[in-house]
Amino acid sequence: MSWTATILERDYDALQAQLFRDDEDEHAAFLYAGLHETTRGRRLLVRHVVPVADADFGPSDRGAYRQVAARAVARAALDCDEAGLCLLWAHSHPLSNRCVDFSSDDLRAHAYAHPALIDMTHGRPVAGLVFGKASVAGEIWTPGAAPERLTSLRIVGHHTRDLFPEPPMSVIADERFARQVMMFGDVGQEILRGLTVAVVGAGGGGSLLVQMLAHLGVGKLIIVDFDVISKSNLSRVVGATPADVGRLKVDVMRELVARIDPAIEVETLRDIAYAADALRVTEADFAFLATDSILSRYAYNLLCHQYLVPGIQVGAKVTADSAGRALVHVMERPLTLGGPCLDCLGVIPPDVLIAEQQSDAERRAQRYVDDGQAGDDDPLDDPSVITLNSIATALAATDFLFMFTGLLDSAPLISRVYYPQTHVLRERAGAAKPGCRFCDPAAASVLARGDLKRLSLRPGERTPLARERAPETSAARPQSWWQRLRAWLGLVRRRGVGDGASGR
Amino acid sequence: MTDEQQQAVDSVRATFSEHAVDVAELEDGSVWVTVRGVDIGPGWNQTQTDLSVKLLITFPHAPYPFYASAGLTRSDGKATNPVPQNVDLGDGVIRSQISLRISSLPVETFDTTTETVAGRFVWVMAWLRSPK
Repeated sequence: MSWTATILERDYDALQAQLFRDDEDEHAAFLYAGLHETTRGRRLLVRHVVPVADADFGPSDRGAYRQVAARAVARAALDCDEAGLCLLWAHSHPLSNRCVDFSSDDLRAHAYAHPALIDMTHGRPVAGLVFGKASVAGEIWTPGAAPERLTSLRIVGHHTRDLFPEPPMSVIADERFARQVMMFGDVGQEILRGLTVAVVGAGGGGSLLVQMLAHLGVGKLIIVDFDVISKSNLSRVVGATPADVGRLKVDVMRELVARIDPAIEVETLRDIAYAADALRVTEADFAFLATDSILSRYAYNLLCHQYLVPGIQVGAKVTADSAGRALVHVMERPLTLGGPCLDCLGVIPPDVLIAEQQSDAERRAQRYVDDGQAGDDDPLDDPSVITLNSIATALAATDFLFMFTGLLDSAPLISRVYYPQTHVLRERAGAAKPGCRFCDPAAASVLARGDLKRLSLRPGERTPLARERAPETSAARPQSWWQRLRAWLGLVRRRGVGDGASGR
Repeated sequence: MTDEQQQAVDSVRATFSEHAVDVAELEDGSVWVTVRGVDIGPGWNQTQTDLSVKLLITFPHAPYPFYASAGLTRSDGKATNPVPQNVDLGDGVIRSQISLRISSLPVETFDTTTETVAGRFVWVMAWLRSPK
């Protein structure tokens, strides 16, 4: 079982400022972290960085260069236990840069202190970390098991990147990526190949994202949608043909990806408002949201913050002014997790969130005071046009690409709204609300708690739609005109035999 | 039940320890919390009612309507505001909805740092005991 850690960029910057100072001496900090068990390994999710005062990081009485005072460690362990989090203690090796490892004194300190700290934090894992300027090593202790090493540390933010104990070996990218590798190098392509990316919503926006991510060459896609292709989807769902009407959108997406790059692994799910599917999405390195549902938006905002999964929400909206003229805008809302969440931005309207969870009877009961939106039994579909979806998804996919390949400049990554009728692109800066239950680390929020807090979503999995068409095998559903002709001829022959037999 | 729902249930049970408090979890993760036998005073056709609230899976994100026992009407014959309704909300129990969002006001997220579900029960009970 591998171990990784994840930290937000703002917290990593604070940690760097604490650990690496002009005095070129060693310094220390505690990290309080949530825990996430995945099929890929265990993740420690850093929620707080607590600097260790220099007075508590003095020369050791057991011969080591420096050690954290026992009283400071005990206080941190008690704080962690009260918060229901895991304790990590970190220090710097200021002369190390791209490679770093523990000293023998460090490892002896772990062996001495960690069993007691595990007891003090009720059996949760305890880890020691040592940082070089661009590297990190870690040793994780769990009850009754041998210590294990940290594989990497993910820094989530403007430039989302991994730190390792030493630089990993690089490989040459496949020729198919030659043109894009000219922009971000073989290393960038390798980063993309190592990523699991979730796309929530496989409609007009989501299908475009799936297509772009497949062409970019990500390693795995998790595609989430419970709905089937309808006739009106054919104008904008990339990869869908008239023969796909009635089929699950995610099945159509799986085939789209296989045509572009069969090496990409695809996992399909139904609905992130249900805990079973949401937990699968938390295994992604990045998650796009491209649905109209406010409950999906709530679930996405929740799981991204609870499990430190960065992402971008995309959308296109057509409304009308008082004269009935169409007003068009498209938007992307990045969730780099260091800024305001979707709730702080005011895009999870509580009345719609309630209405989406209510039964028809409940909505009817409230209708007499409704404004005609939240209580509608049959809400009309919003306008949707592929060109608008293309703008939003291209902006979002480019931000995703640049975040992971380090190509974003220093401008903050914030929400953007584009008005195609006037060619105006506006940035929409927002502020995190103090006390936010999703994103405020100072409050009792879900931020970085991972599995140490129950996920507030519907239990189990969504049941299939009644109108869902049974999946077809590739043999039963030929792709080319030649395969279709052969199948048709085969059908004629079988019918002929059958007719003859029945005619006897 | 989510941690937030559990905390809300605990607060209701602690506040109304002299009453029976029923808790029913639904398949979608929402939870009905009902305080039994609440004294609502002389202004109604019943002297006691069962007071319920449904905590959705997204609780505490947004407040929710409260419900009383079916058939609750004012004893003076005046129409109540909001108008009680007798509805079956899918669990086979007929209830009258007695509080709800007002379309002219913004719906706020339930703020657990300043209020509790038990506090909302108390507020609704106070309203029932002195209806305007």
